[in-house]
Amino acid sequence: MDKLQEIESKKASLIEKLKKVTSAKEISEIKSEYLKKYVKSLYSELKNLSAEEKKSFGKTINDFKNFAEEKISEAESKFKAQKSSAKYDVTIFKDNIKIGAEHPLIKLYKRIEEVFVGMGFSVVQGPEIELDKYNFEMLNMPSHHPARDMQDTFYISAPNVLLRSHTSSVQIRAMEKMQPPIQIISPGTVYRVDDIDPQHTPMFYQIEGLMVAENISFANLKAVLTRFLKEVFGEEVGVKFRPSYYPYTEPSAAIDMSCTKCGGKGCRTCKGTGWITVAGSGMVHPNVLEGVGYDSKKYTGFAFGLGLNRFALTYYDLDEIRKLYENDISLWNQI
Amino acid sequence: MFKFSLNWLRDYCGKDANYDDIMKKLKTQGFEFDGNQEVKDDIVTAIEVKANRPDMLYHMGIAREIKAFDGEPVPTISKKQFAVNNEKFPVKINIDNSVCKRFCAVKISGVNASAQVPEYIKERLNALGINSVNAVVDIGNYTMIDIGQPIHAYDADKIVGNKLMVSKANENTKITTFSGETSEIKSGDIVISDGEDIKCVAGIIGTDSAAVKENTKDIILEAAIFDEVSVRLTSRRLKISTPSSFRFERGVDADSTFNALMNCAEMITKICGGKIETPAFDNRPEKSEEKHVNLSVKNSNRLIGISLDQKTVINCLRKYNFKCKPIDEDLIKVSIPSYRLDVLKEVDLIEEVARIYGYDNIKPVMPTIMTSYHKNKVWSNMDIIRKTLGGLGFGETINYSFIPADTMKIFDIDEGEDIYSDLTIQNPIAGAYSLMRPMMAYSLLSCLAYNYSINNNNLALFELGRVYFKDKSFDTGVREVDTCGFVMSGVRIPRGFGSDKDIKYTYYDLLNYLEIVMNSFGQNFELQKNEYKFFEDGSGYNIIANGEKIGFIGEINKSKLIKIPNLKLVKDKIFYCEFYISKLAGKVKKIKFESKYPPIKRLYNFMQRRDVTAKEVETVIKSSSDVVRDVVVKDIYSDKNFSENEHAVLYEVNYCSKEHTLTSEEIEKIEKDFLEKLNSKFGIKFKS
Repeated sequence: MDKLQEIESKKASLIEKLKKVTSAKEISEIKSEYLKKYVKSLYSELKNLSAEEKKSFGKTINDFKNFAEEKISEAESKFKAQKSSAKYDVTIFKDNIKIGAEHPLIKLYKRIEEVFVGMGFSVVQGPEIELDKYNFEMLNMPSHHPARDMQDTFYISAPNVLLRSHTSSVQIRAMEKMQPPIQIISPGTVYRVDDIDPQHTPMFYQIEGLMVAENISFANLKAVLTRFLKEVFGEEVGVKFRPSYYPYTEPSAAIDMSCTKCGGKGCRTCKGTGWITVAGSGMVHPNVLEGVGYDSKKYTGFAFGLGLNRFALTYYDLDEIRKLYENDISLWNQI
Repeated sequence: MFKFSLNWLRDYCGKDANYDDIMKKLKTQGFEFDGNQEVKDDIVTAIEVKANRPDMLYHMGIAREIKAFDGEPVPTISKKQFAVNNEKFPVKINIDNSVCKRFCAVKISGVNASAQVPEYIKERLNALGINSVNAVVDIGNYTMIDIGQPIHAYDADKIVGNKLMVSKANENTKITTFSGETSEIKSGDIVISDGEDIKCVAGIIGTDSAAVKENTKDIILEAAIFDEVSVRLTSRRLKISTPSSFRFERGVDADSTFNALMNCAEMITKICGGKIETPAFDNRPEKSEEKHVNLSVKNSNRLIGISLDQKTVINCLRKYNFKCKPIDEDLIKVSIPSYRLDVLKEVDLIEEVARIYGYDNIKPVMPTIMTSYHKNKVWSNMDIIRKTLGGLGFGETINYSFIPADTMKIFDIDEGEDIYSDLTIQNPIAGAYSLMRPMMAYSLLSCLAYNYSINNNNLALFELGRVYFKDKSFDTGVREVDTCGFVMSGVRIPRGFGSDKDIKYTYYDLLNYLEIVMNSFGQNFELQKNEYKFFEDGSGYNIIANGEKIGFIGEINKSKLIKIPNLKLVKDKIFYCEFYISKLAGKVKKIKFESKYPPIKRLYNFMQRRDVTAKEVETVIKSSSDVVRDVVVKDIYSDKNFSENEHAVLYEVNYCSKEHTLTSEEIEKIEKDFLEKLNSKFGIKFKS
């Protein structure tokens, strides 16, 4: 019987085709070819057969039909299952809902503020346009003091009204108002005459801190500032204190931290030394304490200050310091 | 900063002194490395020397520090015995003692100023960047860099009348300096003159008039100590800073002046020939006295946070050439070496103890201190704004506080207006950075424009910073106001993902954002029209809270502000808001309404005159029944077919009762009531 052989080969070809199928459309084409056209052609054969033959061939057709239906629906369900698992493309991240970019200086500052506030420091602010008295004189820098050279100052009306060159002025104002024990940080913008170029700006962000009470010592200074640097930059950073000079503190210490870029091995950022200077600090000079009316025999204290701009550069891999004030939002969006 | 030559230093520390070792010791003691350079067979190293340590501005000083560190005897200037008689000195010298602490001079006759300078002197000076002039001048410079005393030499034959006066100039005079430049001396500058003309600007630079030249035969050699502040002021004004003025400003050891002079004179005669004439001249009005400072070991331990015994403290100080004598168990009488001009008080000695004992050896101790934490209101307000605007998609910027001098003109703000200012910096870096900003608008608009120029389009930006106004009631004469500004322009939501077109920022978004920010403080506010000309007509409003103006808002008039660089790149409308942070007095808001019955919402599309505000409509609707919870504008639009003074406004009214579930009959009754009122009062009808 040729027909029976033909049916067997049709079955084989159906299975082959279903294996290769890639879309629902192809399945419906197969359906119509095998279940409609071919089954129809088989039925049309029936009329030429005897009653006996009809009965047996009819069964064969039914078997084929069942076989084909089963295989096709199997393929269909497999295909449907595949389709539903790909309901969403999770590799798409649309960007039309935005959160605002944070400014790197603020982002870094907030990490630092958190540590000091956690240690009990209060945040105080003061004027940016200052009197010479608060910016220099009461910080043990009388007029013509050579240390003033380090801070080339902008003047609103020389010599008395100027743009503060550090936020230490805020601490003097705070001490005038408060009695020890005090623990404050004074963050804010400060100004020094400098042309704008890739590595200089006439304005920068500074944070200074002050702790005055009975028996505050240099050992306390070391502990608090080491804790701060390790909290912000990681337990693994090395911290070193070396002698330095600021007119308003004595003893004074510059604080070096192992270079966060190379881990202390030496690179361009740290000029090959493995260390970067991050802050200035020291024990508040008795002249400063007496100047605000504190008894320097009773009270001692430490002060520190750090500029955030250069820091932010290494922290966020920014290449130019002036970019901090250019505000290219596409850069801020990356951090 | 001081640059030293390794070879030179080895004269003191030994030929084999190891460079790295030297550098390590200097660094530990607080003299930071600032770069080096190999010059022939020498290394020139720059170290940072702070203003308090002028004794580290010459080689012997550095050698002292290194030797002391090692606990070895420190080098000293060799003492010269030489007859002094001021009366018999060949030049009559008159000195104003108020400007000159010490003045030493000696005459050398028959020198050969064109003598060959020994190679090592030339090389060392060259390595340090000091040009060779002639033998006499070079040896003077060499002495200064070697032992710290600036030396000046005059051609004796050019001193008219054999007399010199050291005093303040009493008139303004033009001079030609040694190096050939002209400068103007002002009355009050310290000068050395012979009555004819000025021979030297004290401590700073010699003039051409008595300069030692190749043909000079007899010289007067001078070593003096001039008033630090005068030298500094004159040097700054003349913009002439010399190695000599740099040292005088910081201080020179007056006890060594005479010895330094005689050392230099001997070296000159050795190299240039000639004879040192007897006697020499030495004028020192204040007698040299050994300085003493008492140090309490207890005070020292307390400040440093260590517990050293008296013996250890004494050993530390003795290493560094401080002579110590215990007074009792605690106090030590310490005599200060004459070159340590920075040690004047006990605390200066405590610093020395800490430094010598070693900062690394001081163990950190956490302080135990109880202070009360004071929350900074303005500061925490800023954090709330940062969180709110950041969450709404605004990027934070920080801009320069100084803006162009002509900003007021660009913005068309007149004197007398509340945001006018002429508070400028006297020494700005440029005109574009000279006015202390009285508003943030310039900063944020130019920042927006800058971003457009680098293809960052469609932006919302903000800044938290200060604005400044002249105000005599403050001690600085300036009122500084913590301020927030925000600006936006372009597309807020780009097309796609369900939106078939770009949705741009609108004026109503601006109001929306303002309300969200004010709500985050629980701050009620209202808006009153303002007349700022940098806003588009009819868009500028002042923000009023608690009866006071706290800011302003509007759509920027771009054509007016075209002078702001790149602003023309911003094609879309720009919306701007600025408000003062400290004025925000937030209240805790209470939950006022709670009902277990379901709310019912109804929409009403009205045609209304443009001069009728949504607020007025809301008031009428709310007055019709107390079950009206909310009246919200859902949309507002215009159409060509509308009459010009009308627009369509879609309101959603939210009804809810605390007592029962509202029925449609009840609502229809309320509707009927307010529709009649709206119609009779404002002529409002349903849109057909």
